[in-house]
Amino acid sequence: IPTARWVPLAPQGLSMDASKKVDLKIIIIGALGVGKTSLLHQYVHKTFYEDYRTTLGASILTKVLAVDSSPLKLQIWDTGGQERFRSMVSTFYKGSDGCMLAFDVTDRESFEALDNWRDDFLEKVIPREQDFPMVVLGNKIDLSDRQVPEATASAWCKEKDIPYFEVSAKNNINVAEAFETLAKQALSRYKGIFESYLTDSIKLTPNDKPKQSCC
Amino acid sequence: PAALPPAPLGFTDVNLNSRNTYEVSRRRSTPEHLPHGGTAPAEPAPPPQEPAERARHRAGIAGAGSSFAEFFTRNFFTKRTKELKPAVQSAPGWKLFGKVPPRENLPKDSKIIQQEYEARTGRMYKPPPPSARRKNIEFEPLSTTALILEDRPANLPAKSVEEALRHRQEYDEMVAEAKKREIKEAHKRKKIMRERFKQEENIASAMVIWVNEILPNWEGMRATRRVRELWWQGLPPSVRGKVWSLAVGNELNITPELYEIFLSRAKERWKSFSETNSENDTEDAGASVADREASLELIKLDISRTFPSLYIFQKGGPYHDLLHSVLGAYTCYRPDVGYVQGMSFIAAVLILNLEEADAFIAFANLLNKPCQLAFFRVDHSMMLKYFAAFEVFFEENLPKLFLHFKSYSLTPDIYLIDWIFTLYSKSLPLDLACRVWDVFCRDGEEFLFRTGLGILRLYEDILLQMDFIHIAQFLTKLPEDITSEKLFSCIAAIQMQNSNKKWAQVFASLMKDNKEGDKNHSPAPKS
Repeated sequence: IPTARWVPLAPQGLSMDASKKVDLKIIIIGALGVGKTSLLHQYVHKTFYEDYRTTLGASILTKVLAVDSSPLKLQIWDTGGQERFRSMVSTFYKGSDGCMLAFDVTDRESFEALDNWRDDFLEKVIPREQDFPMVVLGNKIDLSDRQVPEATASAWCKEKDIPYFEVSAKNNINVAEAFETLAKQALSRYKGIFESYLTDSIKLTPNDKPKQSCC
Repeated sequence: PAALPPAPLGFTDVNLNSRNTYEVSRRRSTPEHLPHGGTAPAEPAPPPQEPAERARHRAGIAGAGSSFAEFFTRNFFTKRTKELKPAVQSAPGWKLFGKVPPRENLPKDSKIIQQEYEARTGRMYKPPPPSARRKNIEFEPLSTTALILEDRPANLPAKSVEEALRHRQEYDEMVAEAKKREIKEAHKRKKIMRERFKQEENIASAMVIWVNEILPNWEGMRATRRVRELWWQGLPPSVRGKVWSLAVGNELNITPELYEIFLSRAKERWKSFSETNSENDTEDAGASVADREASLELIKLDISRTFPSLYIFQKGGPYHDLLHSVLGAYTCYRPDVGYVQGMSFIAAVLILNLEEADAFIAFANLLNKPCQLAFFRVDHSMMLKYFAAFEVFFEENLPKLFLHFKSYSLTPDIYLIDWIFTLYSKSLPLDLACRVWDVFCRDGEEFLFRTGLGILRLYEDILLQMDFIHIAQFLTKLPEDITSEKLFSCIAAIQMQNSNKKWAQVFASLMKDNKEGDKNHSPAPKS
């Protein structure tokens, strides 16, 4: 069997063995202070603290879950949310299988920033594709001073065909549901790539000249 | 308790210190740290032992970050007092304030202290020997004194002769065993004390040198070999802020008055901000992004996330307003940079070591250094140059680990961003971060990257066993028990030479490559 030299779509770390546990990379992005780290910790550790430290660059958590009875390991990348970090953070988009967009329902600007975050992600993620697995989380629904009505957020998401979740990291509302929805989407995309990869490589192999497989 | 020193001694002591460090250490000490040796009444110990003993307690504080400053100054003070008030010096004055060491760095030590405490109380409250029979035993294991009943209580039949004899024999064996053990432990303790004492002496004499010789002749001496070596050992906390200020310099010529001007401007902006509750600033409309990011809310949010475990910068904490002021004034002073996440950590460390205006001056000048400017302006291409230069020295110093990281395509940005942005103050224990800052002030940006390599070297063996995800997790959240001795010996072992090129030259050539275009040269190191 010729070695896989032609790997156009395979994301970083894509496992070529379907029976093996799948590793998926999920990235959570969104404006500063919307609670990205809190959401992640609520999902992974089932805890909520008031005093997370500022996230700079990226930090990574992992969680193993079962989707349709197959084990799935999520590698969740938490990122710094300051506007100007976007170029820096975007280097971490590479190889993502799913993207979680977060905003704060009590902060209108964080919602308005979603467009930018999404565009930036779709522009820079490798490989590029428009129907990339994505979910939107409106966090802090436990607070009373809401600035973004649910209908507004829903409409924005519907228009872009992205599932929307109203969540509270503090009270653990809907957090797991959002992550699992994204995980399922990412998994089915992954499986699609995997299958097309197999067929493509089988198709292409005969024409492939035996070049050096390594550079 | 009767042996505790009069309060004035302690308070004078505090005055010697920076107000800041004192506050911090007071905040940091929690009741559970109070006790053990602390409550033990002073016993008549031979003079050389007493300071050594205190040194041991103090050295325990070293792990507690800024309280290091506190205990050190205290020591210096005690030394001077000793000559004046010999009667007082044997008392453990520092205990008054409850600034007692969290001992996480010295797990074994706390056990020793506990034993010692038990031993002491045992000795203190030991009842007079109950029977004449035991008077001939000159050593008694303290822990057993109260437990052994020589004769049965009166309501029970008395021991037989053989039984009594056997018990006596068993008791003697126990005593001998215990004695042996205690002697061994005493030796161990003594050795530790000697080391601590020596350490304390070193710091004390270093401080005298800094204060009397170096600081008065700063420009002439700062670059001398002797000073540089002393500097590497770590700055005595009481001169730390001063040396940082001098080393960072004031190229920007900021005066305290200028700080006040920018501070009042910041206050005005916050006031109008909270009144209109909008971020459309009347004055500086236009630079909307910078404005938004300089906004009250953003700084506020970040302040609450700065050293949350210290509880001093959060709302209601003693340094909350101070940190707010310094950061706010900076965003007015440098609207082109604005507030950038990570700055709050740097300002916080400076505030812990300097007075407000001095902290601002050092802060603004520090952020004006090329490396800091590149990062805080998020000049991505410049940042990549720094990462590439780092990788050159990474490969040179730790080739095995370098290849290991390469095999996972693990790029340095994953861990370096956090390290460089906050100058390690977020990722290393605070006292250790301060020591990194010490040498960073001496050597410049190069030392930040050298420290990074030192960390990688320190954990090389474990890192080589890890996969991508674990390395990334490990490096973005370093172990908390990292000690300065180990880290600095690893940093010392890192050579900042790449085929006769130093950091600055390597960096310069990477910059040149960029200008020439990426046709022939790749800035990334090739193996």
